[in-house]
Amino acid sequence: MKGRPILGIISGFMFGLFLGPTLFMWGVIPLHSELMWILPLLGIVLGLVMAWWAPFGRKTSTASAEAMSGQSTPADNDQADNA
Amino acid sequence: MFRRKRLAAFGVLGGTVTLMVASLAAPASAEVIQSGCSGSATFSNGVTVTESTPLSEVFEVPDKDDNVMYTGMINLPPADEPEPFSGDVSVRLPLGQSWVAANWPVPPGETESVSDSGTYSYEVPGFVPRGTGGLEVTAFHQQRGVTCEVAVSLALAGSPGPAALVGTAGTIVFGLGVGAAGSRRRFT
Repeated sequence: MKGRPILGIISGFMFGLFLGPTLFMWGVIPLHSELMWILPLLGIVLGLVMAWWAPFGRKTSTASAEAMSGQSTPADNDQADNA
Repeated sequence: MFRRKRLAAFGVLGGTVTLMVASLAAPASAEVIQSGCSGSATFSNGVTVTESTPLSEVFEVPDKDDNVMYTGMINLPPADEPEPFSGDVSVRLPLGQSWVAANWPVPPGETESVSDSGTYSYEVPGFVPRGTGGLEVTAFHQQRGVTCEVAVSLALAGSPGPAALVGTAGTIVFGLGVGAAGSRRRFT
């Protein structure tokens, strides 16, 4: 998983937990709506999907970071010493 | 490429919330759950609900203390001698729970009559949010083997106040947390 699954689970649960009563208080859903307990579960799924997908931030890895920075690797240094 | 992915992510988040809200329309259902009675309740703001009031209609009732004029009759011939009866008015909550606002008979007893009318006073605690979505209020009565259950949708007049703002703020904060869960971890 490329993102942050723990953050996704906690934030998703809390997001759904707040969203249900908020929709009720703004008059969007009735109090007995099943969404009151479905939304926190959907929030957990949403958080996990976001963590799995990880659409934000740059793709970083050691190799690509070195290639982008133009720095030599230890292997390159050894080859230079041998020459 | 990244911009397209971010836009898609926001699209998924927005689409999920839109779907959640769009799926909220409650299915039309009968207001008389179990027949065998008739009744009405009139609030001080002129709102009157009866057993034939559609459940899909939400009526605003006074948010402060109010006196409700009510009538109720169960479709039975008058009894010759006192018989047991019971009933209540409850508010439907999530997960199949309910909160009983009033019940009868108080004190316990028996009756010969099959109808009643009068005035009922209610008080709404200050912490209950106003101007919200519908509260499904169910009236239930049982007597001589006949059961009657009628439901109406009511909402307290007024604006939701700080509770709704706190809820909105929490939703936004944790929504951002969900977005942050979608940011890539840095590997070293």
